[in-house]
Amino acid sequence: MTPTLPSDAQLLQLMSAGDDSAFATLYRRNQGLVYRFALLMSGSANIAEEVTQEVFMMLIRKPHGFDPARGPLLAYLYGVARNHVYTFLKRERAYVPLVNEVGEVEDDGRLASFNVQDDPFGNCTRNEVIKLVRRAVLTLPLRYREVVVLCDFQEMSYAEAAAVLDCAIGTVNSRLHRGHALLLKKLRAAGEVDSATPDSQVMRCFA
Amino acid sequence: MNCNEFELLVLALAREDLMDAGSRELSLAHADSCPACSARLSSERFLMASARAVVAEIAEEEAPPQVEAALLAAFREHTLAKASPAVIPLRNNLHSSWFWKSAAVAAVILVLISTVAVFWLYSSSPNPGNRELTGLDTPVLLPEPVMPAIKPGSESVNPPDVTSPQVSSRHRSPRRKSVPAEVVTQFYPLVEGGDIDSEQVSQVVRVELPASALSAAGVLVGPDVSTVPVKADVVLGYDGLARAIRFVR
Repeated sequence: MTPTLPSDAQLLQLMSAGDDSAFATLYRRNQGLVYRFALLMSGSANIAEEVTQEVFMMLIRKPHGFDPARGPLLAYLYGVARNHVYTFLKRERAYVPLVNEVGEVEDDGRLASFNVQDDPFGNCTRNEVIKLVRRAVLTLPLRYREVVVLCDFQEMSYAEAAAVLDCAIGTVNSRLHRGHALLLKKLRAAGEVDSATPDSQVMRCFA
Repeated sequence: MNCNEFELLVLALAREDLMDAGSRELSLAHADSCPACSARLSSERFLMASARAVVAEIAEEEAPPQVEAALLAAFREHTLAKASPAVIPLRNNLHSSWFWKSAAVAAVILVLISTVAVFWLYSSSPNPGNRELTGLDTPVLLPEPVMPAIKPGSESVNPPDVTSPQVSSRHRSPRRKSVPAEVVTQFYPLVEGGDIDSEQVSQVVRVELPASALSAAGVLVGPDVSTVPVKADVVLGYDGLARAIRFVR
């Protein structure tokens, strides 16, 4: 007979009573997901670390800010993390990339037809593909980026993503479609750019 | 199934989320017959495969251990602070808007009190009017008058500064110290009847006039000093008439 693990709500209750082992369990259960969400959204390990810390500090300061009736704890933590990521990214606006190696966004509103025979990564290794995909995701507008990260990289359902983003499921669906279209365009462009300038990196300057 | 209907299902198909077996078969059949939709499905599958590769790549990435240590320390500190409400972390106080509002109100009150105190000190200490009225009731005789000519009944406006070391500190304003000590005589009535009732007094006015003008008050003035200016405080009644005069040096 395996002992049943306490739920997040139970751990939160114990945590509110001052049980630090409950807090530690809650943290270890959720920190990885929060950290990786912030990492994929920001592309910075430092920001991801700070966001993770801020999310759980919020839980320490205001444990009653979480309402179980509105959804699971993880969705609440993602929501807090999202707000902090936005705050950090606003601060980062002072930095402007000198080279946009994944190309400009072509916001023409149409889904570009992607020829399966034109594999832009035909000559790339798996690691290069991963690197290019992560860079391409970082260049997406935030409203598309967060949906792509939640649904594709955090493997959430549309309903779960809608709960995190506090929007309708249809909105998640349409943003995901649009995000994929932009991502595919960027990846195609990245394949061309990447073959010409394999060592291209994002440079920053103070604007 | 047409291309529009396929477009609605292509993401779920690529994500392997399409649960309805009938829709799934129809979609795949359409993709087999439509090159554009087949390419669309392939691109979405490629994207999903890339995303899964990224997920596998970062699956082990977590916040560093020092974050957990810092959070646990913060949690214990917070729990202790909650257990003893007398110990309120200053940081929490500083973050509340209520704290800053209270501080601003307290600062305004302090500024107002200071302003009133300074105004009161400056308005009360060098004003001779109040003291003359006091002098009318209880004249103070100087032990060593400075003006021999008006020696009888002379008094000092600020005798405590000169003679008494037990003066209270609030009278020692900087402005007061900078004013040289004045020597004044008693008030001499200018109306018949002698004594002056303080209730009849409206104000005391300091004037400077030639010594020759003192003859009108019955003071004998020699011709050699008739043009010398003389300072005097004149007590005026409510009817505007002079009630008394004293001389200042």
